[in-house]
Amino acid sequence: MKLKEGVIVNEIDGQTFAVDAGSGRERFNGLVRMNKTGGFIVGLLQNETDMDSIVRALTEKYDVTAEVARVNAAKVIDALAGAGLLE
Amino acid sequence: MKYEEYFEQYGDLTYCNVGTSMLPLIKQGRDLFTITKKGEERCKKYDVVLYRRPPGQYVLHRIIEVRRDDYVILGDNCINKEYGITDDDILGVMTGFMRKGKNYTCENFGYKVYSWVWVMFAPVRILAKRAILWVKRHIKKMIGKKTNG
Repeated sequence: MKLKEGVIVNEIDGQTFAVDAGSGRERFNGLVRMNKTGGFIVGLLQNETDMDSIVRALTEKYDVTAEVARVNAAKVIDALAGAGLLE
Repeated sequence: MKYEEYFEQYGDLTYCNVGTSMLPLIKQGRDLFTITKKGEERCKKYDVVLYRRPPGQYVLHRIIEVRRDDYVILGDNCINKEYGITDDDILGVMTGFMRKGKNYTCENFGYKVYSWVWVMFAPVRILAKRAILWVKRHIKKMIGKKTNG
């Protein structure tokens, strides 16, 4: 999985925003707002990756267990998928 | 979720635009903007605001004149001014933007100069654009007449 083409990622004041700027739209959607950890996961998703790789990267970067990392990664991935930002 | 609900929850919004009305500042598919929820105070000339245009359209354009009861608003790439937008219609004011991958605040000196110049020369830009449209329309008409004749 990876971020869809046209998704712009920006960090402002410690928060990361992923916005689907690639397609015109009628309704207000295609936006996910995240904390620093979410921003790290989004950074990984700029290239093709999978859940196991994300969990591994999270446990290497942060002092968390694989279980906690997996739960957090799933939350971010669900939010991104729900907003239509993943391929 | 609606814009209003998002502002209620977070107080600001980083998002993208649709269309060409804020060119050359903000380009669809390339740039993002950050809007901060409007407070009680009135907006100022040169502010870029997100407002509701009845019945349900949301627009990001620039205030070019502050009047007692409303604002005169114009997109940076538009030729038709909009009247009658009141404080109640305005959801928020642009406080920053990401252009070509770089973040700027609206306090940036270069941005302020751009805003000032753009509004100052708006009448000239509008006249030039209308003239170009007029010429294009007449060329089309002439070509149409020749083809039909």
